[in-house]
Amino acid sequence: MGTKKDPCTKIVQKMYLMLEGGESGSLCATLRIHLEGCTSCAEQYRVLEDIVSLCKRFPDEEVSEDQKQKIKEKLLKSLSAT
Amino acid sequence: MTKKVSRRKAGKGEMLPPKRGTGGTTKKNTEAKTHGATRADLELVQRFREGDLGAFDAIFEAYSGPLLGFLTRMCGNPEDAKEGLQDTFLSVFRYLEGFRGEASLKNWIFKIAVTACLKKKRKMQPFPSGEIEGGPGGWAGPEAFTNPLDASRGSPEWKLDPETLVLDDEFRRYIVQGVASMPYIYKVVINLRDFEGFSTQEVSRLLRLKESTVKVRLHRARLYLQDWLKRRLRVSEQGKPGRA
Ligand SMILES: [Zn+2]
Repeated sequence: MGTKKDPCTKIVQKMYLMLEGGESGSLCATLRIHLEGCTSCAEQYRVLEDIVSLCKRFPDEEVSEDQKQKIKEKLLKSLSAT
Repeated sequence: MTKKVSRRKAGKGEMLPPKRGTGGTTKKNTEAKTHGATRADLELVQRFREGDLGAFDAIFEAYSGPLLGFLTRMCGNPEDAKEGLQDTFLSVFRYLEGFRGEASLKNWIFKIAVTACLKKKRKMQPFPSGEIEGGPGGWAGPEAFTNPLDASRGSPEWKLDPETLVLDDEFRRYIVQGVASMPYIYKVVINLRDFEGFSTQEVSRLLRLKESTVKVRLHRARLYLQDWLKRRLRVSEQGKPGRA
């Protein structure tokens, strides 16, 4: 069944195990060994680490005081009416 | 002096697993394992029940920024996000009476936001409900990654400096567009896990998915985002992003 995947594709698909951190299974060990010997997968892993880092640093959206006031007024109106 | 807020009879408050934090301002708490509301959550909710308008304000102030960020990345446009923010808070304050503290206030509130997104999604065009099949520029999903460093994926230009890039307005807009363009099942996971800092366990409970499913969808969402950015950005040697 399915099409045969090259080893690097399989590695990329399992990289989340390492990105999760704290994983120490034999699969992670296999992944690490592959990354040590494969520059393309090592680069792909680094890029994914950057993506995760970007998301984690992403700032909250600013809600202006004006917007806040409008929403709060509407909320209080709705809540008082019910 | 505290003003009274009228309260509706509580609906069924669905509780979820938790994490730490009071006002919910503690984003990026990636692997908290605690369950249930904190003392601060419970005190805040109790104050609200007693009609303390200060508690209403505190909840609104603590969660409006994170929720608007979450909803903007879910909806992709600011108007829908603002509407979603209002809907979410309306449900939050209507049903807060039913908050039992089995989950943290943050988890409980985000569950409501997710529900608001789902309602909106059903009203709009049908999103693909299955796995990613098509994406930006005809991307065919992670299965298409036959070679992680295929030249067509533009890896040589991929020089991210997350600390710098995240400060760039235009780059942030690209990220928001990229996330919003994902099928729902992926964007909701990456939004909660990576952007809002919920743990995998929390996301799995919040979305009622197996943890393994969360992990796979998260990974696909990250790859999708990577692909999206690569197609749209060229990061110059100065690290200043620009249009591809
Ligand atoms: Zn490889």
